[in-house]
Amino acid sequence: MNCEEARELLYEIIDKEASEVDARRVQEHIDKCRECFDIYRFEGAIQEFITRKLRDNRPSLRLEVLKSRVLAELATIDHPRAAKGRWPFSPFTRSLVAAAAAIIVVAVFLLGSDFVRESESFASLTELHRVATRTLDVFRDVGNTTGAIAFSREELTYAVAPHVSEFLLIGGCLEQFRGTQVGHFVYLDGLTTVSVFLVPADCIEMPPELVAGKVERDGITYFGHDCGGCRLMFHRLGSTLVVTATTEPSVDLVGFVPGQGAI
Amino acid sequence: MRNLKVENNRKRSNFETEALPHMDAMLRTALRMTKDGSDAEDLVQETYAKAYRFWDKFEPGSNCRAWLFKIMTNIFINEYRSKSRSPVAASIEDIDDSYLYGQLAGMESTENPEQRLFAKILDDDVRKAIENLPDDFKLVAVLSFLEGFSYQEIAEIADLQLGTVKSRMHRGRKLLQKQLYNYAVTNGYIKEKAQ
Repeated sequence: MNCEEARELLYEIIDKEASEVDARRVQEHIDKCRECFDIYRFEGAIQEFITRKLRDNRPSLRLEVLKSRVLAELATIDHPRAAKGRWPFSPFTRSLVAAAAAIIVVAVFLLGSDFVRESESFASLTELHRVATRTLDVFRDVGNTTGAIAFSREELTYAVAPHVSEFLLIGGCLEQFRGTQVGHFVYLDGLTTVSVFLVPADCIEMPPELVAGKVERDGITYFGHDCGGCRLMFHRLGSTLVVTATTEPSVDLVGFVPGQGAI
Repeated sequence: MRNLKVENNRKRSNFETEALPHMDAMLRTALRMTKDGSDAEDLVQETYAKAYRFWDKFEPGSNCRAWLFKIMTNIFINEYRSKSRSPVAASIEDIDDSYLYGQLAGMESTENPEQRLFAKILDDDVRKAIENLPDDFKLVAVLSFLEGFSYQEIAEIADLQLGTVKSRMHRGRKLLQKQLYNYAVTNGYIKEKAQ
Protein backbone atom coordinates (compact mmCIF):
# COMPACT_ATOMS: atom_id res chain seq x y z
CA MET A 1 0.00 0.00 0.00
CA ASN A 2 1.25 3.47 -0.81
CA CYS A 3 0.57 6.78 0.93
CA GLU A 4 -2.21 7.76 -1.42
CA GLU A 5 -4.14 4.56 -0.77
CA ALA A 6 -3.60 4.92 2.96
CA ARG A 7 -5.02 8.47 2.91
CA GLU A 8 -8.02 7.30 0.89
CA LEU A 9 -8.95 4.94 3.69
CA LEU A 10 -8.29 7.41 6.49
CA TYR A 11 -11.84 8.18 7.57
CA GLU A 12 -13.17 4.70 6.96
CA ILE A 13 -10.54 3.46 9.36
CA ILE A 14 -11.32 6.15 11.92
CA ASP A 15 -15.04 5.45 11.68
CA LYS A 16 -14.33 1.72 11.94
CA GLU A 17 -15.94 1.12 8.59
CA ALA A 18 -12.97 -0.39 6.77
CA SER A 19 -12.67 -4.11 6.11
CA GLU A 20 -10.26 -6.15 8.20
CA VAL A 21 -8.03 -6.63 5.20
CA ASP A 22 -7.82 -2.89 4.55
CA ALA A 23 -7.29 -2.15 8.22
CA ARG A 24 -4.37 -4.56 8.33
CA ARG A 25 -2.81 -3.16 5.17
CA VAL A 26 -3.11 0.38 6.49
CA GLN A 27 -1.54 -0.68 9.76
CA GLU A 28 1.38 -2.20 7.92
CA HIS A 29 1.83 0.99 5.95
CA ILE A 30 1.71 3.43 8.85
CA ASP A 31 4.11 1.26 10.83
CA LYS A 32 6.64 2.15 8.19
CA CYS A 33 5.56 5.62 7.06
CA ARG A 34 6.06 8.39 9.58
CA GLU A 35 3.99 10.99 7.79
CA CYS A 36 0.94 8.80 7.34
CA PHE A 37 1.31 7.67 10.94
CA ASP A 38 1.23 11.30 12.07
CA ILE A 39 -1.87 12.04 10.05
CA TYR A 40 -3.68 8.97 11.37
CA ARG A 41 -2.74 9.79 14.93
CA PHE A 42 -3.80 13.41 14.49
CA GLU A 43 -7.13 12.63 12.84
CA GLY A 44 -7.88 9.96 15.43
CA ALA A 45 -7.20 12.43 18.22
CA ILE A 46 -9.35 15.13 16.60
CA GLN A 47 -12.20 12.67 16.18
CA GLU A 48 -12.00 11.53 19.77
CA PHE A 49 -11.88 15.15 20.89
CA ILE A 50 -14.94 16.19 18.87
CA THR A 51 -17.00 13.23 20.05
CA ARG A 52 -16.09 13.87 23.66
CA LYS A 53 -16.94 17.56 23.44
CA LEU A 54 -20.22 16.87 21.71
CA ARG A 55 -21.51 14.63 24.44
CA ASP A 56 -23.02 16.73 27.10
CA ASN A 57 -23.10 14.83 30.32
CA ARG A 58 -24.62 17.42 32.57
CA PRO A 59 -27.62 16.12 34.44
CA SER A 60 -30.46 17.42 32.40
CA LEU A 61 -33.50 18.87 33.98
CA ARG A 62 -34.82 19.27 30.48
CA LEU A 63 -34.82 15.53 29.94
CA GLU A 64 -36.96 14.89 33.02
CA VAL A 65 -39.38 17.60 32.02
CA LEU A 66 -39.56 16.17 28.52
CA LYS A 67 -40.17 12.69 29.86
CA SER A 68 -43.23 13.85 31.73
CA ARG A 69 -44.45 15.67 28.64
CA VAL A 70 -44.08 12.52 26.56
CA LEU A 71 -45.79 10.33 29.16
CA ALA A 72 -48.65 12.78 29.35
CA GLU A 73 -48.99 12.72 25.57
CA LEU A 74 -48.97 8.92 25.49
CA ALA A 75 -51.81 9.03 27.98
CA THR A 76 -53.80 11.31 25.70
CA ILE A 77 -53.20 8.88 22.83
CA ASP A 78 -54.51 6.01 24.96
CA HIS A 79 -57.41 8.03 26.33
CA PRO A 80 -58.16 10.80 23.86
CA ARG A 81 -60.97 12.25 25.90
CA ALA A 82 -59.36 12.18 29.30
CA ALA A 83 -56.83 14.91 28.77
CA LYS A 84 -57.26 17.24 25.85
CA GLY A 85 -54.89 19.95 24.82
CA ARG A 86 -51.24 20.09 24.17
CA TRP A 87 -48.61 20.99 26.69
CA PRO A 88 -48.10 23.57 28.07
CA PHE A 89 -51.69 24.68 27.78
CA SER A 90 -53.31 21.85 29.66
CA PRO A 91 -53.28 22.55 33.39
CA PHE A 92 -53.36 18.82 34.06
CA THR A 93 -50.16 18.17 32.16
CA ARG A 94 -48.62 21.34 33.40
CA SER A 95 -48.98 20.40 37.01
CA LEU A 96 -47.34 17.06 36.25
CA VAL A 97 -44.48 18.86 34.61
CA ALA A 98 -44.20 21.32 37.45
CA ALA A 99 -44.10 18.56 40.00
CA ALA A 100 -41.53 16.64 38.02
CA ALA A 101 -39.38 19.69 37.53
CA ALA A 102 -39.56 20.56 41.19
CA ILE A 103 -38.62 17.06 42.20
CA ILE A 104 -35.62 17.22 39.95
CA VAL A 105 -34.53 20.48 41.45
CA VAL A 106 -34.64 18.82 44.83
CA ALA A 107 -32.78 15.82 43.48
CA VAL A 108 -30.07 18.01 42.00
CA PHE A 109 -29.82 19.69 45.33
CA LEU A 110 -29.57 16.58 47.40
CA LEU A 111 -27.08 14.95 45.09
CA GLY A 112 -24.81 17.91 44.82
CA SER A 113 -24.67 19.11 48.36
CA ASP A 114 -23.59 18.35 51.81
CA PHE A 115 -26.34 19.84 53.90
CA VAL A 116 -25.75 21.28 57.25
CA ARG A 117 -28.90 21.93 59.12
CA GLU A 118 -28.72 25.35 60.59
CA SER A 119 -31.38 26.83 62.69
CA GLU A 120 -31.13 30.21 61.06
CA SER A 121 -33.38 32.83 62.38
CA PHE A 122 -35.53 34.49 59.82
CA ALA A 123 -33.68 37.77 60.09
CA SER A 124 -30.44 36.20 58.96
CA LEU A 125 -32.02 35.45 55.64
CA THR A 126 -31.50 39.09 54.85
CA GLU A 127 -27.85 38.29 54.80
CA LEU A 128 -28.45 35.54 52.33
CA HIS A 129 -30.40 37.87 50.13
CA ARG A 130 -27.71 40.47 50.06
CA VAL A 131 -25.96 38.08 47.75
CA ALA A 132 -28.58 39.08 45.23
CA THR A 133 -27.22 42.58 44.97
CA ARG A 134 -23.94 41.35 43.60
CA THR A 135 -23.24 42.42 40.12
CA LEU A 136 -24.95 40.44 37.44
CA ASP A 137 -21.65 39.87 35.72
CA VAL A 138 -21.15 36.94 37.99
CA PHE A 139 -24.07 35.27 36.35
CA ARG A 140 -23.13 35.79 32.80
CA ASP A 141 -20.69 32.99 33.16
CA VAL A 142 -23.28 30.43 32.23
CA GLY A 143 -20.67 28.58 30.17
CA ASN A 144 -19.69 27.41 32.83
CA THR A 145 -16.17 27.60 34.06
CA THR A 146 -16.77 27.95 37.75
CA GLY A 147 -17.96 24.43 38.27
CA ALA A 148 -21.35 25.70 39.20
CA ILE A 149 -24.47 24.06 37.94
CA ALA A 150 -25.81 25.85 34.94
CA PHE A 151 -29.16 25.23 33.36
CA SER A 152 -30.56 26.58 30.19
CA ARG A 153 -33.14 29.27 30.36
CA GLU A 154 -36.02 26.95 29.52
CA GLU A 155 -35.08 24.40 32.10
CA LEU A 156 -35.11 26.89 34.89
CA THR A 157 -38.16 28.68 33.78
CA TYR A 158 -39.97 25.37 34.02
CA ALA A 159 -38.42 24.59 37.33
CA VAL A 160 -39.13 27.84 39.03
CA ALA A 161 -42.33 28.96 37.38
CA PRO A 162 -43.49 26.62 34.62
CA HIS A 163 -46.03 29.00 33.19
CA VAL A 164 -43.83 32.07 33.08
CA SER A 165 -42.10 31.85 29.75
CA GLU A 166 -41.25 35.49 29.19
CA PHE A 167 -38.71 35.60 31.98
CA LEU A 168 -35.21 35.68 30.65
CA LEU A 169 -32.83 33.59 32.66
CA ILE A 170 -29.46 35.24 32.85
CA GLY A 171 -27.75 32.54 34.77
CA GLY A 172 -27.72 30.14 37.63
CA CYS A 173 -25.26 28.60 39.99
CA LEU A 174 -24.87 26.90 43.30
CA GLU A 175 -23.65 29.08 46.11
CA GLN A 176 -22.47 28.34 49.59
CA PHE A 177 -24.27 30.02 52.38
CA ARG A 178 -22.99 29.12 55.83
CA GLY A 179 -22.07 25.64 54.79
CA THR A 180 -25.31 24.99 52.96
CA GLN A 181 -25.60 24.95 49.22
CA VAL A 182 -28.34 27.06 47.78
CA GLY A 183 -29.31 27.43 44.16
CA HIS A 184 -29.27 30.98 42.89
CA PHE A 185 -30.87 31.90 39.59
CA VAL A 186 -31.25 35.32 38.13
CA TYR A 187 -34.01 36.26 35.72
CA LEU A 188 -34.80 39.44 33.92
CA ASP A 189 -38.38 40.51 33.59
CA GLY A 190 -38.39 43.79 31.79
CA LEU A 191 -36.53 46.20 34.02
CA THR A 192 -36.84 44.06 37.11
CA THR A 193 -34.20 41.59 38.04
CA VAL A 194 -35.60 38.54 39.74
CA SER A 195 -33.20 36.69 41.92
CA VAL A 196 -34.42 33.26 42.88
CA PHE A 197 -32.88 31.25 45.67
CA LEU A 198 -33.74 27.62 46.07
CA VAL A 199 -33.09 26.64 49.63
CA PRO A 200 -33.56 23.27 51.32
CA ALA A 201 -36.74 23.49 53.36
CA ASP A 202 -35.17 22.28 56.57
CA CYS A 203 -32.60 25.03 56.54
CA ILE A 204 -35.10 27.84 56.87
CA GLU A 205 -37.46 28.81 59.54
CA MET A 206 -40.14 31.11 58.32
CA PRO A 207 -42.29 32.83 60.89
CA PRO A 208 -45.82 31.42 60.79
CA GLU A 209 -47.36 34.82 60.22
CA LEU A 210 -45.41 35.12 56.97
CA VAL A 211 -46.90 32.06 55.38
CA ALA A 212 -50.14 33.83 54.58
CA GLY A 213 -49.18 37.46 54.81
CA LYS A 214 -46.34 39.90 55.21
CA VAL A 215 -43.71 40.68 57.77
CA GLU A 216 -41.42 43.65 58.33
CA ARG A 217 -37.80 43.07 59.30
CA ASP A 218 -34.94 45.55 59.23
CA GLY A 219 -37.02 47.94 57.15
CA ILE A 220 -37.72 45.38 54.48
CA THR A 221 -41.17 43.99 53.80
CA TYR A 222 -41.33 40.29 53.09
CA PHE A 223 -44.34 38.70 51.45
CA GLY A 224 -45.07 35.06 51.92
CA HIS A 225 -46.87 32.55 49.77
CA ASP A 226 -47.63 28.93 50.43
CA CYS A 227 -48.31 26.81 47.41
CA GLY A 228 -48.62 23.44 49.01
CA GLY A 229 -45.34 21.95 50.08
CA CYS A 230 -43.32 24.84 48.81
CA ARG A 231 -43.07 28.11 50.64
CA LEU A 232 -42.13 31.23 48.80
CA MET A 233 -41.00 34.53 50.12
CA PHE A 234 -40.59 37.76 48.18
CA HIS A 235 -38.95 41.02 48.95
CA ARG A 236 -37.39 43.88 47.10
CA LEU A 237 -33.78 44.91 47.22
CA GLY A 238 -33.37 48.00 45.08
CA SER A 239 -34.59 47.04 41.64
CA THR A 240 -34.19 43.37 42.38
CA LEU A 241 -37.10 41.19 43.30
CA VAL A 242 -35.82 38.41 45.50
CA VAL A 243 -37.74 35.17 45.61
CA THR A 244 -36.81 32.52 48.09
CA ALA A 245 -38.36 29.15 47.43
CA THR A 246 -38.04 26.16 49.66
CA THR A 247 -37.82 22.94 47.76
CA GLU A 248 -39.81 19.86 48.64
CA PRO A 249 -40.98 17.02 46.46
CA SER A 250 -44.65 17.89 46.64
CA VAL A 251 -44.27 21.34 45.19
CA ASP A 252 -47.09 22.80 43.20
CA LEU A 253 -45.77 25.89 41.50
CA VAL A 254 -48.59 26.20 39.04
CA GLY A 255 -50.66 28.62 41.03
CA PHE A 256 -47.78 30.91 41.75
CA VAL A 257 -47.07 34.06 39.81
CA PRO A 258 -43.86 35.80 40.83
CA GLY A 259 -44.20 39.50 41.28
CA GLN A 260 -47.98 39.49 41.30
CA GLY A 261 -49.87 41.41 43.95
CA ALA A 262 -48.64 43.89 46.46
CA ILE A 263 -44.95 43.83 45.73
CA MET B 1 -63.58 -4.16 26.11
CA ARG B 2 -61.62 -5.57 28.97
CA ASN B 3 -59.28 -7.34 26.55
CA LEU B 4 -58.71 -4.13 24.69
CA LYS B 5 -57.67 -2.47 27.90
CA VAL B 6 -55.27 -5.28 28.78
CA GLU B 7 -53.88 -5.08 25.26
CA ASN B 8 -53.41 -1.33 25.59
CA ASN B 9 -51.62 -1.67 28.89
CA ARG B 10 -49.29 -4.25 27.44
CA LYS B 11 -48.54 -2.02 24.47
CA ARG B 12 -47.88 0.90 26.74
CA SER B 13 -45.56 -0.97 29.03
CA ASN B 14 -43.67 -2.52 26.10
CA PHE B 15 -43.23 0.89 24.62
CA GLU B 16 -42.03 2.37 27.86
CA THR B 17 -39.44 -0.36 28.35
CA GLU B 18 -38.20 -0.43 24.77
CA ALA B 19 -38.48 3.12 23.54
CA LEU B 20 -38.28 5.54 26.45
CA PRO B 21 -34.70 4.72 27.52
CA HIS B 22 -33.49 6.22 24.23
CA MET B 23 -34.89 9.64 25.01
CA ASP B 24 -31.57 10.84 26.34
CA ALA B 25 -29.84 10.15 23.03
CA MET B 26 -32.77 11.44 21.00
CA LEU B 27 -32.77 14.71 22.89
CA ARG B 28 -29.05 15.35 22.56
CA THR B 29 -29.21 14.71 18.83
CA ALA B 30 -32.31 16.87 18.51
CA LEU B 31 -30.55 19.67 20.38
CA ARG B 32 -27.64 19.60 17.96
CA MET B 33 -29.93 19.37 14.94
CA THR B 34 -32.38 22.14 15.81
CA LYS B 35 -30.01 24.42 17.80
CA ASP B 36 -33.00 25.39 19.87
CA GLY B 37 -34.07 23.84 23.15
CA SER B 38 -37.80 24.04 22.74
CA ASP B 39 -37.70 22.92 19.10
CA ALA B 40 -35.62 19.96 20.17
CA GLU B 41 -38.13 19.02 22.86
CA ASP B 42 -41.03 19.34 20.45
CA LEU B 43 -39.19 17.22 17.91
CA VAL B 44 -38.55 14.44 20.41
CA GLN B 45 -42.07 14.59 21.75
CA GLU B 46 -43.52 14.42 18.27
CA THR B 47 -41.25 11.48 17.49
CA TYR B 48 -42.44 9.54 20.52
CA ALA B 49 -46.07 10.27 19.81
CA LYS B 50 -45.66 9.02 16.25
CA ALA B 51 -43.64 6.00 17.35
CA TYR B 52 -46.34 5.09 19.84
CA ARG B 53 -49.07 5.34 17.22
CA PHE B 54 -47.08 3.08 14.92
CA TRP B 55 -45.75 0.78 17.62
CA ASP B 56 -47.40 -2.27 15.99
CA LYS B 57 -45.12 -1.64 12.98
CA PHE B 58 -42.01 -2.05 15.08
CA GLU B 59 -40.55 -5.54 14.82
CA PRO B 60 -39.78 -6.83 18.30
CA GLY B 61 -36.12 -7.67 18.63
CA SER B 62 -34.98 -5.28 15.90
CA ASN B 63 -33.03 -2.13 16.66
CA CYS B 64 -35.45 0.16 18.44
CA ARG B 65 -32.96 2.99 18.71
CA ALA B 66 -32.38 3.08 14.96
CA TRP B 67 -36.13 2.86 14.38
CA LEU B 68 -36.76 5.87 16.62
CA PHE B 69 -33.98 7.86 14.99
CA LYS B 70 -35.46 7.09 11.59
CA ILE B 71 -38.79 8.52 12.67
CA MET B 72 -37.13 11.54 14.19
CA THR B 73 -34.97 12.17 11.13
CA ASN B 74 -38.01 11.97 8.95
CA ILE B 75 -39.91 14.53 11.01
CA PHE B 76 -36.84 16.74 11.19
CA ILE B 77 -36.34 16.75 7.43
CA ASN B 78 -39.99 17.44 6.74
CA GLU B 79 -40.73 19.99 9.42
CA TYR B 80 -37.66 21.44 11.07
CA ARG B 81 -34.83 21.61 8.62
CA SER B 82 -33.72 25.12 7.78
CA LYS B 83 -35.47 26.48 4.76
CA SER B 84 -32.47 28.27 3.31
CA ARG B 85 -29.53 26.41 1.88
CA SER B 86 -26.25 27.37 3.38
CA PRO B 87 -23.93 29.07 0.90
CA VAL B 88 -20.92 27.49 2.60
CA ALA B 89 -21.53 24.24 0.81
CA ALA B 90 -20.20 25.50 -2.50
CA SER B 91 -16.65 26.03 -1.30
CA ILE B 92 -16.07 22.61 0.25
CA GLU B 93 -14.11 21.28 -2.66
CA ASP B 94 -11.48 23.95 -2.05
CA ILE B 95 -10.76 22.62 1.42
CA ASP B 96 -7.93 20.10 1.53
CA ASP B 97 -8.30 16.72 3.14
CA SER B 98 -6.95 16.63 6.69
CA TYR B 99 -7.26 20.39 6.69
CA LEU B 100 -6.44 20.98 10.33
CA TYR B 101 -3.41 18.76 10.20
CA GLY B 102 -2.17 20.71 7.23
CA GLN B 103 -2.60 23.99 9.10
CA LEU B 104 -1.10 22.87 12.38
CA ALA B 105 1.69 20.55 11.34
CA GLY B 106 5.07 22.19 11.22
CA MET B 107 3.88 25.43 12.81
CA GLU B 108 6.26 24.92 15.66
CA SER B 109 8.36 22.00 16.57
CA THR B 110 5.83 20.52 18.94
CA GLU B 111 5.38 16.79 19.12
CA ASN B 112 1.57 16.78 19.07
CA PRO B 113 0.30 19.86 17.27
CA GLU B 114 -3.29 19.16 18.31
CA GLN B 115 -2.69 19.27 22.05
CA ARG B 116 -2.33 23.03 22.12
CA LEU B 117 -5.57 23.41 20.20
CA PHE B 118 -7.49 20.91 22.33
CA ALA B 119 -6.50 22.71 25.48
CA LYS B 120 -8.06 25.93 24.23
CA ILE B 121 -11.12 24.97 22.23
CA LEU B 122 -14.29 25.03 24.30
CA ASP B 123 -17.16 22.58 24.29
CA ASP B 124 -19.29 25.37 22.91
CA ASP B 125 -16.93 25.97 19.99
CA VAL B 126 -17.25 22.35 18.94
CA ARG B 127 -21.01 22.37 19.34
CA LYS B 128 -21.31 25.58 17.38
CA ALA B 129 -19.11 24.22 14.62
CA ILE B 130 -21.34 21.16 14.33
CA GLU B 131 -24.53 23.16 14.55
CA ASN B 132 -23.40 25.50 11.82
CA LEU B 133 -22.87 22.73 9.31
CA PRO B 134 -25.47 22.62 6.54
CA ASP B 135 -28.28 20.27 7.60
CA ASP B 136 -27.38 17.46 5.19
CA PHE B 137 -23.86 17.18 6.56
CA LYS B 138 -24.87 17.87 10.11
CA LEU B 139 -27.35 15.02 10.13
CA VAL B 140 -24.86 12.35 9.10
CA ALA B 141 -22.12 13.83 11.29
CA VAL B 142 -24.29 13.90 14.40
CA LEU B 143 -25.60 10.38 13.82
CA SER B 144 -22.05 9.14 13.41
CA PHE B 145 -20.02 11.21 15.89
CA LEU B 146 -22.56 11.61 18.63
CA GLU B 147 -24.58 8.44 18.33
CA GLY B 148 -22.03 6.06 16.85
CA PHE B 149 -24.30 4.72 14.11
CA SER B 150 -22.52 2.91 11.27
CA TYR B 151 -22.62 4.26 7.71
CA GLN B 152 -25.09 1.50 6.83
CA GLU B 153 -27.37 2.39 9.74
CA ILE B 154 -27.19 6.07 8.84
CA ALA B 155 -28.10 5.22 5.25
CA GLU B 156 -31.23 3.46 6.51
CA ILE B 157 -32.13 6.11 9.07
CA ALA B 158 -31.77 9.02 6.67
CA ASP B 159 -32.96 7.09 3.61
CA LEU B 160 -29.74 7.69 1.67
CA GLN B 161 -27.42 5.63 -0.51
CA LEU B 162 -24.36 4.33 1.31
CA GLY B 163 -22.13 6.30 -1.07
CA THR B 164 -24.02 9.50 -0.27
CA VAL B 165 -23.47 8.94 3.45
CA LYS B 166 -19.75 8.48 2.87
CA SER B 167 -19.38 11.57 0.75
CA ARG B 168 -21.42 13.70 3.16
CA MET B 169 -19.34 12.49 6.07
CA HIS B 170 -16.21 13.36 4.18
CA ARG B 171 -17.34 16.83 3.18
CA GLY B 172 -18.90 17.52 6.57
CA ARG B 173 -15.57 16.74 8.20
CA LYS B 174 -13.74 19.15 5.96
CA LEU B 175 -16.14 21.94 6.83
CA LEU B 176 -15.97 21.09 10.50
CA GLN B 177 -12.19 21.19 10.55
CA LYS B 178 -12.17 24.44 8.67
CA GLN B 179 -14.63 25.96 11.15
CA LEU B 180 -12.67 24.78 14.17
CA TYR B 181 -9.56 26.24 12.66
CA ASN B 182 -11.32 29.55 12.03
CA TYR B 183 -12.58 29.68 15.64
CA ALA B 184 -9.11 28.95 16.89
CA VAL B 185 -7.61 31.72 14.79
CA THR B 186 -10.38 34.25 15.49
CA ASN B 187 -10.13 33.66 19.23
CA GLY B 188 -6.39 33.85 19.17
CA TYR B 189 -5.86 30.23 20.25
CA ILE B 190 -3.42 29.81 17.41
CA LYS B 191 -1.75 32.10 14.96
CA GLU B 192 -2.78 31.82 11.35
CA LYS B 193 -0.30 30.01 9.23
CA ALA B 194 1.54 32.28 6.87
CA GLN B 195 0.43 31.52 3.34
